[in-house]
Amino acid sequence: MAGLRESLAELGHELRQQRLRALLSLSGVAWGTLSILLLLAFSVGFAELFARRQQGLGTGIAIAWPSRTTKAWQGLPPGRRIRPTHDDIRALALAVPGLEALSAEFVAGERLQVGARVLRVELSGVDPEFGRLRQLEPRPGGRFLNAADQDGRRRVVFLGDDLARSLFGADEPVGRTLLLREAPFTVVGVLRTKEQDSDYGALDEDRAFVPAATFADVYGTRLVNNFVYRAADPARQEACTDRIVQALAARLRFDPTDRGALGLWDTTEEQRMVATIFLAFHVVLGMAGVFTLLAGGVGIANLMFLLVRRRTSEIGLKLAVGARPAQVRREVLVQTLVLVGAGGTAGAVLAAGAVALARSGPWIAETGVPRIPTALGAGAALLLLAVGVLAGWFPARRAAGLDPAEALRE
Amino acid sequence: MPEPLLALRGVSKVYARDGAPVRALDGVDLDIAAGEYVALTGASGSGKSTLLHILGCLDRPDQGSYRFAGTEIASLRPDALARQRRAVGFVFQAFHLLPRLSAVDNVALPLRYSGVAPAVRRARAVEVLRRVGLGDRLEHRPGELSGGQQQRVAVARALVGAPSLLLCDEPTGNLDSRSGVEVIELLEELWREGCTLIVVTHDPGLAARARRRVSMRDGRVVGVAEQER
Ligand SMILES: Nc1ncnc2c1ncn2[C@@H]1O[C@H](COP(=O)(O)OP(=O)(O)O)[C@@H](O)[C@H]1O
Ligand SMILES: [Mg+2]
Repeated sequence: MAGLRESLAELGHELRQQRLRALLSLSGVAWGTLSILLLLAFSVGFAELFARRQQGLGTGIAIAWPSRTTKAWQGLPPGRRIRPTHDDIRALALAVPGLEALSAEFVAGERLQVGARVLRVELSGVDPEFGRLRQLEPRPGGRFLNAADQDGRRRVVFLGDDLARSLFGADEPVGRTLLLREAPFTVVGVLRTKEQDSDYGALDEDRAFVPAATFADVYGTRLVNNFVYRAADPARQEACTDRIVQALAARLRFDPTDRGALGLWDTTEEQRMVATIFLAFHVVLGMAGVFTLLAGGVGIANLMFLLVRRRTSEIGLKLAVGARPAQVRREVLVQTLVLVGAGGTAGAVLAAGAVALARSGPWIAETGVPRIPTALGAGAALLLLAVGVLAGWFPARRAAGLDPAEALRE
Repeated sequence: MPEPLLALRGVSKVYARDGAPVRALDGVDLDIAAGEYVALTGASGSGKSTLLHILGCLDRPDQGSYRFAGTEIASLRPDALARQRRAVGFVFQAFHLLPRLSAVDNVALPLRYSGVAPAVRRARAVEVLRRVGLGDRLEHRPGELSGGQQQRVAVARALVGAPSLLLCDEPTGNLDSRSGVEVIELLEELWREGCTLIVVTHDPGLAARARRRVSMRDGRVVGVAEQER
């Protein structure tokens, strides 16, 4: 570009003449950039914390439990209890296309015993996919229940982390045995500590899980208490639910349109709602930052108008010796962009520093871990570019439109 | 007869600043051939600077036609107008040097806008400064130079684009007589090398050195005299 170095030297010279004004205008842009980045970094961190807690129960899952029919069907009256078995639930895997994962769940209150210690807990009998659905990650050294456990009806148990501590204290529970209805069960895994803000019955940290087949054996029952599933495509969850009702209706003989026969908790609905609320939250905070930055841009535009006025005769001279108006315009635009870039960089550095500090504070349990996602950084950079072009456009046009003879008389 | 380098027909310029309009130029007809040496004289306020600005394409007539080497200046678009200005060297009475730039940077300024590489710019500026006798003042700022030296820097800046037309607005008006003579001798040397030279002056001694003398009063050309030396 023609004379970039000279053009920047000019800018530097002018700024030294206008230190205070320059400092104020630059800090306006820096402050605006800082506001955008900080507000959104914290709002993103908070949203992520919230999502993590919400997903402690499982991401995008639905929990369904058998209820009573609400419609008459083939001469049978409404109000009949439906009683799906483990086989009925397993059949859904084939009957309902688009299911990503599915697990039956048996539930019972039960006493677990280790040595002299006896605890009453919520015990679940579940299929291997339950771990994936409900975010039951094992701690290193252990594992969740698997297909071999189920097929062999093994006496194995997966423990919530809190429960494991209560039963075994500081000892490593994996490999140890506990007594369940007088029968020894081997601990195969312990839940890795997780955030969870909702549950049905008890938090996972206090629960024990055994294979569904084992549970059915021990209790001599085939009737499931509920089942958990997730559509491969979150947008198809509703459709999957309809297909599940139809498939169960065929096996258990009720009206295939009787949605009321199943109790349903579809977490995707609330997750969608929360996502919308946070989006609105981001937008409001982002706009607050954007307006601060725009105010900074107005300050820069003012400064550039002032510089153009102070340099009127110099610009006139440049035009007189043959500078094209487009060249003069570009010089002023580039100077403005450099100013805005400098202010923006200062703001970004401050924001990055503040975020780095805030990430290690004791407050992150409540605020979440703030971060500046790449998209936010890129968005801020684009916004700065737009503000720079806007702030420089009119001063640049004024400079380029000067009449040399007139300007030189100044 | 071949077309003159510069041809003005019925050129008028009116300034309408606060109050009564001032007719700075009032129907000027003037032809100047390539290679001429013309002195433009007249009382203060008679329109000499306005005319020179129009000749240098720094200003446009309100009425009339100005053709430069056959091209109607009023028809030029901004880029072409800028190119036209580069073909003219203009020396201002008030020098108009940029105070924060060294002599060599001041002289190199026009080259910044004509696409000359930075290293070449400096070399050309140094060459022209040597030519005007300031080879030992390259890095001095205008404030560190005498009036005569400043005007020579301004002449060097007018020369650096190798123009075919030199327009000088009272180039010696702010100088003592010795510096004035030095500057005018420098300009005449350039004229002898083929440049067309137009000098505004109200010093009769300087006016007498030109080959043709154009006198102005109240925005009109009131006399054109060929002179022998
Ligand atoms: N920008 C302007 N605004 C108003 N009047 C002007 C302007 N420039 C020149 N004039 C007037 O036009 C007339 C001619 O001015 P000028 O060409 O500078 O004369 P000279 O150079 O011969 O002294 C003068 O009366 C002057 O006051
Ligand atoms: Mg004048």
